Amino acid sequence: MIPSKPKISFNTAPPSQPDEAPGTALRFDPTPPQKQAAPQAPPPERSAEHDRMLERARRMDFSGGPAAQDRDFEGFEGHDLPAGDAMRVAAPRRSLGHSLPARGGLSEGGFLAPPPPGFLARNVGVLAVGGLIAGTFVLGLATAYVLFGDRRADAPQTALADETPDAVTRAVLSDLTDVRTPSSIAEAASLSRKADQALELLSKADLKTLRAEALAGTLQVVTDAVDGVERVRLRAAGTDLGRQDLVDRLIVAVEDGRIDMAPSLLTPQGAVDTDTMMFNLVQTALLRDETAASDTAARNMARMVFAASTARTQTLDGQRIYTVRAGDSLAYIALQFYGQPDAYVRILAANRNTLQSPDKIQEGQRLIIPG
Amino acid sequence: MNYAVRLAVLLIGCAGLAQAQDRDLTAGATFMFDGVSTTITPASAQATRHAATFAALPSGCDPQCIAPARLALGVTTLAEPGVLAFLVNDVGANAGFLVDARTPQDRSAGFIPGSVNLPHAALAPDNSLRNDILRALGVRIFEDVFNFADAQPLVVYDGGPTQHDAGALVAHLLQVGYPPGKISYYRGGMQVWSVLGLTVQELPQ
Repeated sequence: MIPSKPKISFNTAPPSQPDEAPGTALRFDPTPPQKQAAPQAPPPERSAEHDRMLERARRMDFSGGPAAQDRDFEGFEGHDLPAGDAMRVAAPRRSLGHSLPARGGLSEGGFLAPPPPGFLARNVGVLAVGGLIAGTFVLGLATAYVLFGDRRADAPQTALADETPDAVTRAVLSDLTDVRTPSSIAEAASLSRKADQALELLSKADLKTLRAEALAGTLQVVTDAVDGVERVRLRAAGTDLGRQDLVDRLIVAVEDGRIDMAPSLLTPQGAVDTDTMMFNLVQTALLRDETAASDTAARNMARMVFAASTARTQTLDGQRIYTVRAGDSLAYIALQFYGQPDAYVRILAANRNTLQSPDKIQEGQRLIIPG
Repeated sequence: MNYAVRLAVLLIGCAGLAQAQDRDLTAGATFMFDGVSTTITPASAQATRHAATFAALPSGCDPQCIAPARLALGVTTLAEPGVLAFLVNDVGANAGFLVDARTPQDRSAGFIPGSVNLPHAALAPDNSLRNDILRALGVRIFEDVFNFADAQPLVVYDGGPTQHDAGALVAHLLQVGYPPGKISYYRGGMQVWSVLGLTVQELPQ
């Protein structure tokens, strides 16, 4: 008999985890995110943008009463530059156009009946019509001023005013493609800065509902089969995080080119993984509040999905191998294995030889999931 | 009629094959463990000595008690054929662990080939290495949340029905949420294993 010692033993040293060696660039840190875990040296232009974001976030106070809502509305008017300008110019013109035929018709009947004695008398009709037109125009301007003028004056001169409309509308979810080290959920939020823009497309009422559900802890995790593939998603009482009308609006925005879609949110079929997209948006909205309650709510969202995941791997040569299924996005896979959608960068880095970019995943593709 | 006869012959053939496999398993097992071909046979040369060693184990509790037939709801209790089948089908395919719940000291008296040592104290809630051990078992961990989708099936054993190491280990596993369906209990342990003359492995002195 040749007795041999089994090499798998739990009683001696902790199992060596080469992947977890400190100093590794893409090391996953399972410790709860702390405030000080924020990126240490953010690039200057990023911090400027971040400040602007915070400013916007502060104004988008979803929790206040009627007074707060008024303030919000002003805030939106103030920085909604492209649409707002168009509206302000268009409004008086519209009122002019509507009133012109009606007044003109009235004046023709009233002033052209008596024969004109002199020049003034001869041209009194034309003058009257002209005067009416001019008067209406002035009235329209005055109305426009009363309606919009003082609000415009009161509206805060936002930092966004110096941004071109393009810069605002182009700030997008595709930021998720940056390869960097995600170390905490807090950083995950900053990584999805471009979710801001998508957030603005959602009405405040929509977000308010989802956010309130998350804060109240009434979100539920459901596992259902889509085309025979099990998927984990969060559900609010009666509201799906991936609610169709919300999602449709975002999809239309993507198709119109108003926002770019993060490649990590694309499925092998080229569709958008709406569940993970909405997850990301709500979590980002919560984290921007920077309160303890919203932070906890954001983390709980991730924990719920992580705990409920049914994704399975095989072990080959000591590596975890996951086979991509229909409906998967790289961000969704990362959410299930690491609790963070943006941790897909770890998977991308481990599969560089077979996966060039996040949107290139194929159904049936075998991906290494680093430990 | 003709088809019915053929079907019957086919069924009988299949049944016979299954029976033959059962006999093979109860007679012993050969499987790959940690890259080494491992064989378990009955009637091993040292059987009497091992049986005497394990029969002399002091009881695991005072006053004397014996292990329950079932440890917990959903945790299956296995007999030797089940353990051998698990070694061949699961351990041999790198898809499961036969877990020895005793202390390394107790284990040094002899153990089942193909098993790994996981002393129950290592999974106690106050053990700082607990999460590392759980990861080695296939558990995914995010903050304080465990996911058991990839958790390996386990067969847990100890010294035998007079011992309670396996019970303690299973309790720790269930406490962290390990699915009971992925845990089985070989109640016979070393006491019954050795009495049956099945191969017992010892570490070189």
